[in-house]
Amino acid sequence: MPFTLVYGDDLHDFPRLGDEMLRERGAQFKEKLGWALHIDEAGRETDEYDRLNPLYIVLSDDEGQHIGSTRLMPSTGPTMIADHFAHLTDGVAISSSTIWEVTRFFVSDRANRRAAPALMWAGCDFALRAGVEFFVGVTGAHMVRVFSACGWSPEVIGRADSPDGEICACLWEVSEALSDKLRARAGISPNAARLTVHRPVREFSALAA
Amino acid sequence: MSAALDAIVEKLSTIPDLSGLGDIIEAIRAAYDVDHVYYYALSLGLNVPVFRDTRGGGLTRDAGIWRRDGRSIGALSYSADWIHRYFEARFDAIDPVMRGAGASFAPVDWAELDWSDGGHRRFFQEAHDHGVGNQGYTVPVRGPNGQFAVFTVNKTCSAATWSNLLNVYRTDFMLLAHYTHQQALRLAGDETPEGERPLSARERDALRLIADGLSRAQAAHRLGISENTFRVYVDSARHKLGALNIPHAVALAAYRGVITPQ
Repeated sequence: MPFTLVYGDDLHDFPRLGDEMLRERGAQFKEKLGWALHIDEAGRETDEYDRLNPLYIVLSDDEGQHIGSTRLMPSTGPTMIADHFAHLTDGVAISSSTIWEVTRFFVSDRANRRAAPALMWAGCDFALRAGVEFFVGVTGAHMVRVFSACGWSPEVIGRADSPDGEICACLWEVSEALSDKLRARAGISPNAARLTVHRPVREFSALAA
Repeated sequence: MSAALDAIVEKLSTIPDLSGLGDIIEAIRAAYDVDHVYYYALSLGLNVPVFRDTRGGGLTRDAGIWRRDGRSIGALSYSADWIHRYFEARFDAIDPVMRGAGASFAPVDWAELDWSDGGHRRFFQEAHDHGVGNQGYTVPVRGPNGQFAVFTVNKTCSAATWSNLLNVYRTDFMLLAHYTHQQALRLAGDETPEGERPLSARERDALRLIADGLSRAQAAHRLGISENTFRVYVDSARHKLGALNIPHAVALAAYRGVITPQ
């Protein structure tokens, strides 16, 4: 199961995979779960956070087709949990250099049972190697059970009813032990190559602007 | 978080002005046994230049701090020769480290960058000849109003030695990058580094309980939340206050009248 780690600004380097991810996100979160999300005429779901250069972790099958993905952002910048769901966290806009937010985590119905722990492992391992200590995220109560079943139980720090069902603010600890456990559940070898972020070689321009 | 980090944060909280950052960089270099350390803020996001005398936009050095173009500041352990050479040759325009950090929010391990281009290899070799380590780690820091800074540690050693060092100290480097930046913002004259996001009642409660002398476990229990949740709330408050550690956050909150200790 190949992983692609790519920043939003470089997603166009993976036109097919990016397109599949955003379409499946629309199918999953709007059509299946009924969330009030914006979908463009091509069926792609995007929101304002996709424009802030988040990191996507995309899992594909051996044919290169998208079977699961998630989106990571630092909590020191704008996040969904601070901007829209602070009522779940006692009004606290969570913000810390060692906490990242995870959003839009899902695996396709076509994926096998190793896909979810594989995606969780990738997020946990990448965060671990960045010195991050926790993930936060808001998710439906059903996803709390999915995470727990895969071996990465979140601590639910707040919950509320919403038009889309019960939603939970979750806190996941990042640790070496959890990374090892998720990797084993995903059936990935300890000797597997390290995940690296796609870094295109491009003309240097924006930085000094 | 390590004892080394605590000592540096303590020192960082006492420097009187930006030129004190030079001592901090040296302290980090000694504490973590790396060859070089730098903090370089391309922009502090302030409305005014961080210094008035641009001297033709060139590089200037004032005690422990380098300044450039009226906007950028840096505290670097590199030799003056290398710093002048770097900017005169416009290496900042091709440096894969700056490019990698500019394109990501996660830290960048130099080994993961693409050095295959001939120009990049020559740059890397020249840097190495000036004492820059062959292994390096760079943490990008961003904030409101286009703030962008990088914090780097590097060392000449084997990949295995480097990997062991990072495995122990990654979180320290993440925190040092952000703490150094927050202190630079404050010393450059920005009193509300995080854009004046007010503390919630819960964050004020958490700080007040610490000010009253309760332990983390006691305070969490009092608020009816878990210790991890308490930790996240207190760290969020610390970050918004621009404080370097929890005692500093409590002191700042009391000083600004955000909390009134009993």
